[in-house]
Amino acid sequence: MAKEPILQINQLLTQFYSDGGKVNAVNNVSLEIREGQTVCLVGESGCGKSATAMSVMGLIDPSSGQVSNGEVLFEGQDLLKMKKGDLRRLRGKDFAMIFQEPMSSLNPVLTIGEQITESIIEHELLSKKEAKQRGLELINLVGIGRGEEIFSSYPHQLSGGMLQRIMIAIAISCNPRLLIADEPTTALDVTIQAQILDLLRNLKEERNMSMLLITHDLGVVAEVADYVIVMYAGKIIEQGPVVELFKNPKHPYTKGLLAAKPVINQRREKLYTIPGQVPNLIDLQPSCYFSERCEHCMSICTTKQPPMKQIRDSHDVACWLYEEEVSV
Amino acid sequence: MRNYVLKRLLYLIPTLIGASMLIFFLYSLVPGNFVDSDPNLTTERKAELYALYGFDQPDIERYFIWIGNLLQGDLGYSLQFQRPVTEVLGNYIWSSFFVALASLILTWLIAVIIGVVSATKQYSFFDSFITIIVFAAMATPSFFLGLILIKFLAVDLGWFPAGGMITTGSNLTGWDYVKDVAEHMILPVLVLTMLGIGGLTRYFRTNMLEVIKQDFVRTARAKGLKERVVIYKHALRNALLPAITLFAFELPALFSGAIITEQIFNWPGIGAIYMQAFTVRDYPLLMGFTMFIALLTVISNLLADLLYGVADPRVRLK
Repeated sequence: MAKEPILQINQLLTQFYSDGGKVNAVNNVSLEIREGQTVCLVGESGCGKSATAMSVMGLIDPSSGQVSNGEVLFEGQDLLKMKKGDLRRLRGKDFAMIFQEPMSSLNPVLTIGEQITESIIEHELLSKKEAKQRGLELINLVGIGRGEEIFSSYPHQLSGGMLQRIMIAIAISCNPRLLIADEPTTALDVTIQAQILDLLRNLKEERNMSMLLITHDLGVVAEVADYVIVMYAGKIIEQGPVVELFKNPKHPYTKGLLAAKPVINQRREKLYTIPGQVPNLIDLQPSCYFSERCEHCMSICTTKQPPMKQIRDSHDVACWLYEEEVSV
Repeated sequence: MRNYVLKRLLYLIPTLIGASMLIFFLYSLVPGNFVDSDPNLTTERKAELYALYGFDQPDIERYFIWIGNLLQGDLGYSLQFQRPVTEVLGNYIWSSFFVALASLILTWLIAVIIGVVSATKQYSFFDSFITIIVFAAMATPSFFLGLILIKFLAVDLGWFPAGGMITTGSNLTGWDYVKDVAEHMILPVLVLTMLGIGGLTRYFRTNMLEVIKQDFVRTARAKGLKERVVIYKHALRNALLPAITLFAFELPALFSGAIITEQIFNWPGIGAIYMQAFTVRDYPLLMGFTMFIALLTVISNLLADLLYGVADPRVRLK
């Protein structure tokens, strides 16, 4: 573990405005990604995965929310304290992002080529011709043939899988050191999902990128992650190396997630589901936010927030079940 | 592509035939005509004039005569002016056209700029302030707005002439003439612009707000593009697309004149002539003019569709 963290998030607090008050979408989240590492951020919809990624990118829409506290250190520099222009110059160059919906993430009235080359021209100061050359190489690299033809076509002429490849091509066009992928395969059908994941994994290895992969699909996690972070209601509740976490989950929520995963060749009458719903994030009292749905809920769970505790080497969990000093 | 245009052009024919029938029969079925409106005529004289203008023929027959003349580019004969309709229109339509064109360009330019700025700074002071101003201008009737402008800018300050198209009694030529007309144009153009700007500004603001929320704008930001590029290259282009249709519909309006504004500023435009023709039942002039606007409308419709295809690759024909 000698490798330096490329991204380090400390006590990040991202709030969105709502009619009922401020919502802590990302609540005191700390995590780090090392060079060449793939970290998966897992959790249900609305648990703050995407908000975390958008906070890192500085793309939280100021009319709907803000990053209120914390640090986002990218190679030692705090992105949150950076001037807007400086952040913009890093964004898309040193760290880049791909999104969930490839169909709507590309501009319908600009050609694919235009959209690939514009960020190259913006960040690398290449001429149009050189940028086009690079663009064609990238299209080839992400596994689409007929580069010239694709280059001059429009998004509506390509399939979802191809568009996501194009999004990846755009994201890696300036050789970023960190790639954030927000549910990159969710909108695609299963066969394409596997291809896109393979592509991401290969690119990551070839280019020695780090990757923050956001997903709710544990199958994806098992396939690509080095390290897994489980989020619930804006907080990290458990994190650990992928094998360790899958073999030895500690938090009841993580256990529930793993139990809810369908297993091939095991036909069950009914898939396991975690009872209850994600709590309303507006007026949460100090408690374990999972306590309402937890089968092991104790009295302390409803009154005090569990601290993060190291269980084993780099395997942490926030759950009162593992605090010895608490008398049950 | 050529086949498509050809097909669309062919479709225009039945549309125009329908329009011509509507226009002709609506006017010819209205009781009374130009001759009837003069109570001093004797019965014999009336019959003479009926025969002269063809009012004694059956409507169907008159329709085909009218259509036949239309096809030869003859819109009929204005009874009031005792000159061909085309000549009357030709005399007045251009003065209306230039005022309308100037105000159209101004309205669209201002509306796009204000729309974009107030969308990117939604709920800011600028946004609310402009919204109030724009609604106030839109809600004020044109005669009131016109009179206010005349009172302050023409009478009190004396910056612009209060009405007319050229300085009375002047005999200017060349550039001096153009300058004189331009000076007289300013107030009517201002009134038309203020009236038109409200709706359009709101339209662009809404379109822009819609587009700014789209995923591809977020992608453009994530690429690290400058905010200016994100707004003007990625967002604005998409926000302008639906406006193409709107813009094409402005084409007939360019030639149809502004009845009230032209009256206030004593502008010799087609709007005033149109009103006058109504009062004296100069139906050939009205029919000819309405037919001309109908033709412009269907052509601009076609133009809108073709332009949309040029601007939006998703509807571009292969």
